[in-house]
Amino acid sequence: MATELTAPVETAALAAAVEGLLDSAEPEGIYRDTRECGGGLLLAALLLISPPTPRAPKTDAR
Amino acid sequence: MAGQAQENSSLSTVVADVAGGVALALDGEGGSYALSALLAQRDTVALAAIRVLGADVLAPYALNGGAVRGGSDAPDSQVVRRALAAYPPGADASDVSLWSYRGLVEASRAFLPPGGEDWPVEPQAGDTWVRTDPWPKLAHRASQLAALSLPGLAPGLAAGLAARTDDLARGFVRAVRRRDWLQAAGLGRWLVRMPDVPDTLGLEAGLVFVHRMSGGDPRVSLHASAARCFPGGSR
Amino acid sequence: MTAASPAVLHRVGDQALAWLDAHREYFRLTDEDRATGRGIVERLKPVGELAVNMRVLAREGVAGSRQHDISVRLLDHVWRDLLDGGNLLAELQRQEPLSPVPLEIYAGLYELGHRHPGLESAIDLARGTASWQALEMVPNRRLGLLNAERMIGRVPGGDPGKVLAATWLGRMPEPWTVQLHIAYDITHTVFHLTDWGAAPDRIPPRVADYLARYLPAWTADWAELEHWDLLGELLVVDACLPRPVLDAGMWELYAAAQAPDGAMPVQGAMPAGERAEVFDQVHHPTLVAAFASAMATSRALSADLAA
Repeated sequence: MATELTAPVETAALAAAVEGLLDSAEPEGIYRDTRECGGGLLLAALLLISPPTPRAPKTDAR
Repeated sequence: MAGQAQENSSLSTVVADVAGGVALALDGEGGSYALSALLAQRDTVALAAIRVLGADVLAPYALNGGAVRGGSDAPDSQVVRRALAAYPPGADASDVSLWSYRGLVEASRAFLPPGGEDWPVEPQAGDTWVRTDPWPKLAHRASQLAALSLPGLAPGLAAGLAARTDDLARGFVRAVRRRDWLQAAGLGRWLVRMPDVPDTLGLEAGLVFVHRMSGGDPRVSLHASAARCFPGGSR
Repeated sequence: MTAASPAVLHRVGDQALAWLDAHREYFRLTDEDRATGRGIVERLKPVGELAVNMRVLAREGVAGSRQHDISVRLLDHVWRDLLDGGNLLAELQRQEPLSPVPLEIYAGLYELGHRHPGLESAIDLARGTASWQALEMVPNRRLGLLNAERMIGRVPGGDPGKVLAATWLGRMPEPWTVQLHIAYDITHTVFHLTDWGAAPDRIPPRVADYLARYLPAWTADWAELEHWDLLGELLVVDACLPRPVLDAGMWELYAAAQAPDGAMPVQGAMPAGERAEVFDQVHHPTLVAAFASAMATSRALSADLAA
């Protein structure tokens, strides 16, 4: 399990890296499956107040 | 900046290696655990990794009620002392950094041989946020401090978080939705200890799900193993 | 969490209604729709949704006189011009005698005072068969059908409690498994169970507790994803709880997503395109915005809010 590290490192820079890892910001939640937003809606297509059936996307669907 | 990025990256690698070793030990596959055996000798990055993982580097020693190992000069004591000395929280350190440092000191006292030298004094760490943070922020911080959920550490913090069990449960749901497996697993560790955790959360299945979905991230594995090993601690 | 101000809650609906009024001609059936029959159900869905909305507005008593006038104008248009006084629904029922769709659309209009006896007898004919109750559909739609039967003064052909138990929400599974279509299953279950927010106390306490606990997580997540259509529905669910949160932060994000003319995009920014095309894409979230606003405004003025 021992890890080999060859490059000498600055303790001060490492201290900053330590702080960064300890109190890291939340990763942005943008990597979720975007297919969820486009498809999967057909089941609900006939229900009132359900989202409209997706049409051929002419818009900049996100 | 490239140098900083490189340090972050090599530090992350060592953190992951050590976390993986701790997880294996918690799963009982590591035989006799020794932190010092996981580390490259005299390596400042290894010391930094200890500081990042905090009390969790000693988690396997908490398994059997904290059986003390080795003599006063045991290698684990030495390496933890060096890590505490090398990376004390700075003047502008965040509450998370202060709490994490406290956690490592407390765990050292509890799980390592006393030796001749005193351990550093625990720094004061702010806890207003435990009562005042909105739930998403609270959940994020609590997860960063998951190592402090080890039995016997930071009882005040554990009690404060237990009073916000529902908020941590919300955070768990949000973290899984956002595929933030590390945050979810860290929250799971706190939640398994809380007497009022709602059954509807499906926490046990959730931790299995998070562990699997993380694709073997060693830090997530560490949290998942610790959640299995230390359930119901504050009941 | 602080509650949103009634002014913010009200303004979202006021603007949404103004947009719907300005676009009422697009609640439409084209000659092609009529000739081929294709797309008729898709075109009628917004009509049913509009009726539900107008009913909520009337019931909650939060509409000003201008909103009331708009509501009357919109309903007259769809009932008289589009549905031909209900004849179109009766014709659909004749073509497809077991279809639940005409009832689902008619129920809201019925409660607003519109009547078509021929359609009702056709619906009763279908309801008299065992097949009607055997129709296969997802449980939350079945819940809606039972509610629609009740709305037109019939005895529901089933036990809503049993149907609820078959829905996703009724089983209260792991909340972290919720994804987009499950979230819509949840919102619809609440809409039908509470008769579109009229009877929040029909949510069993254990389900209300479940929602109070986890709804904030789902709401925060879809707000972050800027999915305004679903966020609006989740805000309706909040307004249906015994102690709604009416979270100021969520409502401010929602209000900020609304276009200056009152339209609410489905997700992200407003689409570009021909007026009719844009209507087809955003009428649903805009109707939801009117619904959420009416419910939340009413609750802000009357309910015990969650701390």
